Amino acid sequence: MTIVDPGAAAAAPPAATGGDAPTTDDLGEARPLRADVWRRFRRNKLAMVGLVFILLLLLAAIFAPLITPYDITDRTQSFRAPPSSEHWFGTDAIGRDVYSRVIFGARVSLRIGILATVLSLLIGVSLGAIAGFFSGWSDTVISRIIDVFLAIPYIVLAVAIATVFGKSENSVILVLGLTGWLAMARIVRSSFLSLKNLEYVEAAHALGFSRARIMFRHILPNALQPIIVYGTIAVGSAILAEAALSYLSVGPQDPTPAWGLMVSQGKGLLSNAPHLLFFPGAAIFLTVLAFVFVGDGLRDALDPKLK
Amino acid sequence: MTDVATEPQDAPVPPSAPLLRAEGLVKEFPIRGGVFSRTVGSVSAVAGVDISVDKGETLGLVGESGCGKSTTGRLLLNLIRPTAGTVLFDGEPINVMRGRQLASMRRRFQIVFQDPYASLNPRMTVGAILSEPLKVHLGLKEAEVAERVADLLRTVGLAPEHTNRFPHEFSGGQRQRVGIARALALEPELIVLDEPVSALDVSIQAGVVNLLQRLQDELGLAYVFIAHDLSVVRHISDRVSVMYLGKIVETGPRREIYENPGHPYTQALLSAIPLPDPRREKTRERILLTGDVPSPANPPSGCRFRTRCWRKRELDDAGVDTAACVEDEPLLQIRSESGAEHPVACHFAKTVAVV
Amino acid sequence: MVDAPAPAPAPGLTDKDVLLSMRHLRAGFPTDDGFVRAVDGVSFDVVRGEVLAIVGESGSGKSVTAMSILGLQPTLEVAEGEILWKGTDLLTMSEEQRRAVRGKEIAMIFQDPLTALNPVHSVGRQIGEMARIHEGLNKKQSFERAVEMLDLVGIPEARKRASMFPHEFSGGMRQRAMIAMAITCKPDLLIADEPTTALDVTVQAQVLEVLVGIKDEIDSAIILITHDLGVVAGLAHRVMVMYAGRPIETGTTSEIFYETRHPYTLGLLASLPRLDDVGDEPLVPIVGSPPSLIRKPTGCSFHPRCRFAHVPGNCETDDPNLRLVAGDSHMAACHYAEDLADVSIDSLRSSIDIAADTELADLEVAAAIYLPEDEPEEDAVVADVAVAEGAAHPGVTDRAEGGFDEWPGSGHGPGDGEVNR
Repeated sequence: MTIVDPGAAAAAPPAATGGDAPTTDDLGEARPLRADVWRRFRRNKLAMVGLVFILLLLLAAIFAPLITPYDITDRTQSFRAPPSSEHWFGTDAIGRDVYSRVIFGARVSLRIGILATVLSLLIGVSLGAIAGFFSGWSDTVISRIIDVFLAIPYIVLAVAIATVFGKSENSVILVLGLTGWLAMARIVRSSFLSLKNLEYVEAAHALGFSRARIMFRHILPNALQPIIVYGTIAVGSAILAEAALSYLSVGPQDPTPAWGLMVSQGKGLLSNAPHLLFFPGAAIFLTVLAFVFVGDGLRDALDPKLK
Repeated sequence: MTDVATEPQDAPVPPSAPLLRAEGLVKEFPIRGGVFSRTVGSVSAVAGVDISVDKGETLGLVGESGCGKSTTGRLLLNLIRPTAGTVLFDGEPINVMRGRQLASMRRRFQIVFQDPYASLNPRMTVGAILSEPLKVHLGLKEAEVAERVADLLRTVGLAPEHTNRFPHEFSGGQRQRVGIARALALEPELIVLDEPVSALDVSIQAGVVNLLQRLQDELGLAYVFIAHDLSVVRHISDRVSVMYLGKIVETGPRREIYENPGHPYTQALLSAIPLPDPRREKTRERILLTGDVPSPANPPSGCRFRTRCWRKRELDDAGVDTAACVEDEPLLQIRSESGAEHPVACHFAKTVAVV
Repeated sequence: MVDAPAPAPAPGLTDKDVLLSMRHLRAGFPTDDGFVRAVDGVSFDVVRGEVLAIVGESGSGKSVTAMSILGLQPTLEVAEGEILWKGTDLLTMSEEQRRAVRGKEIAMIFQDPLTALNPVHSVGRQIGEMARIHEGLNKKQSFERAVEMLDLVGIPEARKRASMFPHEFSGGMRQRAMIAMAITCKPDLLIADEPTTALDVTVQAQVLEVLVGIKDEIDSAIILITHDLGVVAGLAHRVMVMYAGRPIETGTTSEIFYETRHPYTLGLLASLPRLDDVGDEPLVPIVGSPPSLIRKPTGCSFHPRCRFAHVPGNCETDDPNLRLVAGDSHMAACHYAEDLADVSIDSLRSSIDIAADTELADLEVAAAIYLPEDEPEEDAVVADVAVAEGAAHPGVTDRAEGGFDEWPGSGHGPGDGEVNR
C-alpha cells in the first residue's frame, strides 16, 4: 500500500524558515504547547543552571535547620573570623555564624521576593487587563495613575510605609507589591490591547460569548507569556530591591538575617572582614542572576516560533 | 429586488423579504489627537451602503483595500456598531440590540475570517474551539457535544480524530476549514465570509470554495462573500456589489456585472485582473488607473472616484462638461442611458465588455 | 537521485547569450526538526532579455532559489551545485566580489515595499546610493540619477518626490520606487520576488506595466517569482514550475499553459477560477497539502496528491528526473508525462461530477495518508478513492494495469465505471 515515506507520517515539522509556510498535513503525535516549551527551555544551558540554583536555594530554605550547624542567633567567641572549617563563611561582629545566617536569609529573601511579586501580579494583571480590554475612560484613568506612581521613587514610599507600619518583612512586601505592579500593568495592558483585535477574539464576540468569558478564556491565556517571563524576573528584582531596602534599614531588623541587612552590617569592614560583605552579597547576586536566566530562558522557550 | 438569474444555474427563489437587509450604513472612525484624545477628524470607512441578501443566495462584495468591504461585513453582524443606518435580520433590527438578546440572535449569523493563523485561539484545541459555542448556547451534555464536534469536522472534510490537536498542527487550508466548522456550529442562516480564501494557496482555495458551495447547497446558507479576487467571486456569487472608498458603485446579478459592467471603476478592476491564458493576456487591452486611492479621511467631493476616473479624462478631453462629477454625488440607481439593467453610481455610466 | 541536465535555452533565444546558469543547486536550512531541503536539485538558465517566471506555491522553494542567487540568506547552507553568472560561480566568489555584482549587475525587487525601503532616508537618497556606491557618482549626480529613475518608472513630479520619505508614498508608488532603485545601475538581471502580491490589483496592473517598460528600456532579463499564473501568462517568455524544492516542468509560456505535461501544473491550472469563466465550472482542487521539505515522500514528491499516479508502481519508488517531453525545450519531471497530451483542463473539469465527490475525496485522502494506523484496502490507490457510498468501481482495479484510457479527463464519462474525483 502506498503510504508515503513513514518519516513523513511523523510529527508535523513547522519548517517556517526559507519563507515557506508550514504545509504538511501529517499530524503525527499530539504536541501540546507545554511539551515544546519545556523541550526548548531544557536546551538553554544558562536557564537550566539558573533553574537548578533556584531549586537548590528553595531546598536550602526549606531545610535550613538541617543543613546549618548554628542557629541565627547563636553567638560564639570568635568575632569577625574569616572562613574556616568550623565557620564556612566566617563569623560576624558579634560572633554569629555567617553561613547559617546566609542560609536562613534565603527564607527571608525568597518569601519577600515571591510574595511581593504575587501581590504586584494581582494588582498589575487586573488593572492592566481592565485598561487594555475596555479602553476608553478606564484606560485613561489607569494609565495616568501608572504614570503618577512611576514618578514616585519607591525608596521614599518605602520609608513612608515603614514609618507608618513599622520596619519588618511585611512592610517590605507591601512596599514592593504596591510599587512593582506598574510595569506588569503596562505589559498586560499592551498585551490585551493587541490581542483583543485578533480575529479569534472577534470570532468569540461573533459567537455571542460574554465579555468575561472572552477576557479570561480567550485573551488571558494568550497574554500569559509576558506575564510569566516578567513575573520570574520580577522575583529577582524584588529580592534586589529588598536588599536595598534592608541596607537602608527600612526593612526587617536584626536579628533577621536579611541579606541586604547583612551587607549593610558589613559595609564598614571591607578591609579587615571582607567575608561579611562578600557572602551575603554573593548570595544576592547569584539569586537574582538565576532568576534572570530562568526568565530569559522562559521568554525564548515561550516564543511562538511555531506558527 | 433580486433579478432572476438568466444564466444556466439554479437561482434561489427569493422569498418576499430578504434575510438580511441593511440600509444607509455609515461607519466613521474618529481620529483622535491631543492629550485627552479629543476627536479631531474622522475617517468615513463606510459612507452610506445598502445591502440585501436573500435566503440561500450569495452576495459577493468586492473592492480593493480601503474600500470598506471588511468594515461593512462586520457592520452587518453588529461586530462594529454603525454610526448610522439600520441592519435588519429577518426583519429584526440587530444594530440596536444589546446583551442577551443580541447574543442569542447571533446564533443565526456568523463570520469566517481571512487569516487562518489568527482566527483560531492558539491555546485551545480544535475540539475545545468547536465545542465552546455548543456548550455556551445550547447547553448540551458532554457526549452530545463530542458527537456534534465530530460531525462538524467531518462536514468540513477533516478527520474527527483530530479534536485534540492544536491549531498550529494543521495546515492553512485545514485551519480555514476549522474556522468554517466553527461558523457552522450553531447552524446559522447566513455567514459573512471575509476574504476566506485569500491567504491560502491557489490549489487549496479550490477545495475550500467547493466546500463552501456544497455547504450552501446542503444547508441552504446565505453568504456575504467579501473578497478582492474577482475570479473567485464569480464562481460563488449570485449577485455582486462593487465598493470604492466606502460606497457601492455598482450592484447587480453576477453575469451583468462581469459581462456588462457600467461603472468605470468596475471596468478598470475587471480589466486589471490577469488571465491565466497567454494568448488572451497578450492581446487584452488594459484600462489603467492613474494616481493613488484618496484618503478616506478626506474623500473627493461629488463622485469619490473622479480623481482616478479614466472616463472622466476621456470626456474632459472630448470637451464634455463633467462638472457633475465634481459637484454631485452620483446615486446608485438604474440608468437607462447606460445600457445597464442594474444600478450604477456614475453620471456617465456606460457598459463596456471588458472580460 | 541523479539530476537531469539543465534545460536548453528556448528556441529563438539560443543565439543570445546565457547570463545565468544554475546547476544542480541543493541548499537548505538546519532547523530543530531536521534539515529543510528548500532547494533540492534546481537547474535553469536565463538568457539576456527574457522573462523567466518561477512559479510555485508555498513550500515550493521558489523564493529561496531566487535569494540564493545573490547570497542574501546567511543561514542558507549550500550542499552542492553552482550558480554561474557570466561564467563565474557566484557561490565561490568572495563576499566583496559578490557585493560588486549585487545591485550593479543583478538587482532584486522584493515583495513588501513597506519594509524594503529604509524609512529614515529619503527615497531619492536611497536610489542615488546605488549610483554612488557602484559608479562612484557624487551626491548631486546621484540625486539627478534618482530623479531620472523615478521618472522612468512613471512617478509624477519625480524631482519633488525624490526628496520625500517612503511613508509618504502609497504602496504602488513604493514598489515603483523600489524598481527604480533596482534599475539605477542598469543591471543585466532583475530578480523580482512576488513584486505585486502585496498590491491591489489595479495597482498591480500599473506596476507590471512599468516592469515591462523598464525591461525593454534597459534590456535586462527578469526572473519573476510568483504564484499568480495570470501574471505569468501576461509577462513571461518561459516558465519553470517548482514543487517541493525542485522544478517539475519547464518550457515556454504557451507550452506550459496549453500543452501541460505535468499533473501538478495541470492541477494548478484546473483549480484556478478564471475571470472569464461563466462561473459554474467546477474548480478541481489538488487534494492534500505540499509535503514537508524535511521528510519528502519516496519516489515522486507529488505522487500522494497526483490523480494520475501509478500506484503501486514506479511513481512511489522512483523520483522522476526532469526530461524533454515535447518540442525543443519542454521538460517535465513525470514518468507518464506523454500521457497528459490527451488530457486538457476542460476534460479534467468535466470529469469531475459534483463538488461533493471532491470533498469526500479530500476526506478520504486525508484519512488514508494522515492516519497510517488505518489499514487501507490492498488494491486501493492513495489518490484513487472509493466514493463514500462504497459502491464497487471496476475502474479501480483496472487502473493500475490499464493505460491512460481509463484516466479521468481522457474522454470517458463517469458512467464507464470510472472513479470520479
